[in-house]
Amino acid sequence: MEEVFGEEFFRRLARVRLRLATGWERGAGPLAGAGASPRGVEFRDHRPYAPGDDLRSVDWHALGRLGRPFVKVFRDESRGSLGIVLDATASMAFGVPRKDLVARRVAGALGLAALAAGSPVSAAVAAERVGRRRFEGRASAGALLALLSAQAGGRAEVLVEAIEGLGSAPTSAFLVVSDFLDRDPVFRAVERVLRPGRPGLLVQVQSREELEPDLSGRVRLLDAETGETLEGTVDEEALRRSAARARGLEEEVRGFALRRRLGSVFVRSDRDFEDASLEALTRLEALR
Amino acid sequence: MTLASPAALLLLLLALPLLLLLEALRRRLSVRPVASADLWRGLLRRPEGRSPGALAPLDLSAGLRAGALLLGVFGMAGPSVRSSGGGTLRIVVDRSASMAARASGGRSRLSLGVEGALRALEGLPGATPVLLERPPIDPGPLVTDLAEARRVLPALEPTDAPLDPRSVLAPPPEGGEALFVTDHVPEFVPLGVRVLALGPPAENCGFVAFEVEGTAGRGIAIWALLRNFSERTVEREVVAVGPHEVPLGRVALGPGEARALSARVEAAPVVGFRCLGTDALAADDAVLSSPGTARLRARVGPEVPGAVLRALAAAGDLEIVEGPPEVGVDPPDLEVGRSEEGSARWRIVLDALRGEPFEATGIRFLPPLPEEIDLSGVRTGPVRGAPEGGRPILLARAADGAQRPIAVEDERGWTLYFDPSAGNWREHPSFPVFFAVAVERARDRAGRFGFARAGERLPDLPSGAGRVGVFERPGRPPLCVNLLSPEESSLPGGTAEPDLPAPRGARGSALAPLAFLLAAAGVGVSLLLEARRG
Repeated sequence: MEEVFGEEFFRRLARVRLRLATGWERGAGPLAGAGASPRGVEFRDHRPYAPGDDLRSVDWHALGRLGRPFVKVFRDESRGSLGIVLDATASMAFGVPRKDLVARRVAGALGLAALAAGSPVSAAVAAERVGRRRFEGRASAGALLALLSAQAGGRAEVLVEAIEGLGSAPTSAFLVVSDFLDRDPVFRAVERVLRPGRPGLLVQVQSREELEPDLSGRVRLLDAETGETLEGTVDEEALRRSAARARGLEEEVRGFALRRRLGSVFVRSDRDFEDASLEALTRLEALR
Repeated sequence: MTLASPAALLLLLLALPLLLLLEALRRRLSVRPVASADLWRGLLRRPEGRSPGALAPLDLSAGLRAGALLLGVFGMAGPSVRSSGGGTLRIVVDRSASMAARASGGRSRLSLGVEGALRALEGLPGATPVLLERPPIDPGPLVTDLAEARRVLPALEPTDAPLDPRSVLAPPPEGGEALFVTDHVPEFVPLGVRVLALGPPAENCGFVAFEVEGTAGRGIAIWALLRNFSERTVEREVVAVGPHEVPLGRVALGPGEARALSARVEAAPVVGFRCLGTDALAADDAVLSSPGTARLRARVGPEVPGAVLRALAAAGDLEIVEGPPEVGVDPPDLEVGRSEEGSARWRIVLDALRGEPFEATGIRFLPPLPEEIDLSGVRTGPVRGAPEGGRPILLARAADGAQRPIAVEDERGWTLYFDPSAGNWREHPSFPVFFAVAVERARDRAGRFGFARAGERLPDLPSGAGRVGVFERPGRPPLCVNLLSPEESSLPGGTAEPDLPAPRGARGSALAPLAFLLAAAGVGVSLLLEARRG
């Protein structure tokens, strides 16, 4: 397997860090506690009112002057932390390149970026079992990457457990990197950990083999995660419909995220992790 | 039925085990890991519960393969059906004027057709009844026997009359066969009728060269060369095509004769000539092109966003018509509206050649995206067209500051891609830019499209001349000559440099032949055309 966090990763990570230097490290990132809560915080800005905002934060003077509702935005003086859930179950070890390669790198890039910005990171990796740990300070970067390098394996139940762990973690933003193939239990788990004012981002990874399957003839399909087998002949119709299901899954994740006010990023496994990380950062910021 | 090589049937003994072996290999399951069986559940064509070693029932494709193998072996055995006198052979020989045309080797089409018919008679039992028909004159069947047919066929001569092949086509007699020898194959041939085709009649007379030159304020000068390849004199009604079709009169061309035609028409999206056959050959032909300088007429549907309208208005030289298509009115050159393929798809259709529309551009919003398109991080913002290798592309700026292409050109035209999650695509700054580029591309493509249909191979091609091609000069309107295909061309491949200026002052049909001959003699004759110098 290709080295996940090699020299190339760190060289290109510099761009992600540079991107953060203009945002998170100056306290303007999604971890800065930028919710509309007025308590124990410092006033920072106004933004247009959105349904669901706490009415106590509406600036009534601005409403009187401008005729449009605005809420006051405050910055939490204590930095928030980033929760990361990485799906490293068996289905993620599929595709060329493997899906977990770009997934681990995106999770690693964002985790290191948060640490560099002074924000703690609570990471959970779903493999054969859940590996969970809280990291703080730049010195813990190596330990974070070691955790994210856990060997792939395990089933969707482990991922659900890892996500549910976010519920008790004191994080101000969270990130779930997965293929979301077992969408129903995973969606339910995400719903259980939603908190007002805590932005979340779903990073969905799919491989070319799922989006453009090239199987043909008589096959026995072996589910990489459950070991279930399907036998039969793959024809053009089956290829087309399987690809449509994979694309449909992408739409479902995006739709779920929209309904729950989460962000979503779609990443093909052959996509450059740097671009994917930058897009994830952008979406995460846009959720504020 | 008899078999020429009955021993070949023994191959079945080898072929059948081979077939079974191949089938067994084909059915061997290949184990393929997938990320999730859910993506495939219910899609495979076999029941899932069957045990791996169980013999599956033969499917249709296996049956077809076995059938093909059996037929192949059977064919090697050489089966033949000899009529015992019950089956009648009906031979219809087209003797219309076009059958007198010379085919390859200098022989007439009729001569080649008769030779083919005689070959078809070989091997038939002597008692086979034969019905020989010789339309268009003397169309009735000549009841004869095989020996008499062999004697009569070589003596057939072409006539001077036209023939509608549909009038003589009929199913073969019951239990018999039919053979139709013609150079004009109809679209529908009854079952049981074998056609011996010898080439379309259009090749007897047609345009071999074409030139268009537009002058601002003075209309468009068109010039073409019409040549008769047949062995007889043909007559054609010549029509100049501009904003309206203007009859130029009747032209008579002797065997092998060429005639230069020129006219000046008002600016129109499509200009050129048509020639209509008025004699027995009845072969119409046309050369049409868009000079690229004409004002295109665009019709936009009511659902077209304002941004697109503004882009079209800014494109210049476009007459924009709004509203639904009007019946009986000349169709527009550009149709801008929703694609019938789906509400999320828009298109610009260029119909400059009247009836030969092609999609100049399409806009797709849904994945999968082509490899060169990466919408990640691309946001609404400044978009610009940037030339790349002489072709305009559209670039959008991504969040990381990099510029990325968001449109690609394929065989169907230009396609623009948007991020499906961007809900304001109608007002996206690239939208009007893209339409402006698309209109430009459509105009450019219209200016390059046209064809000159050519007849048979020129028997007297001058030495050194060999090609009719497209010759363009910077700043001048493109010349549109494009032979349909080498097979249909009268001209062999290769290149030629000598110059053949178009005849000057030739108008209609009176002075054109003389002008053409003078011009040809003056420069040593070539068929490479170039835009006429002002």
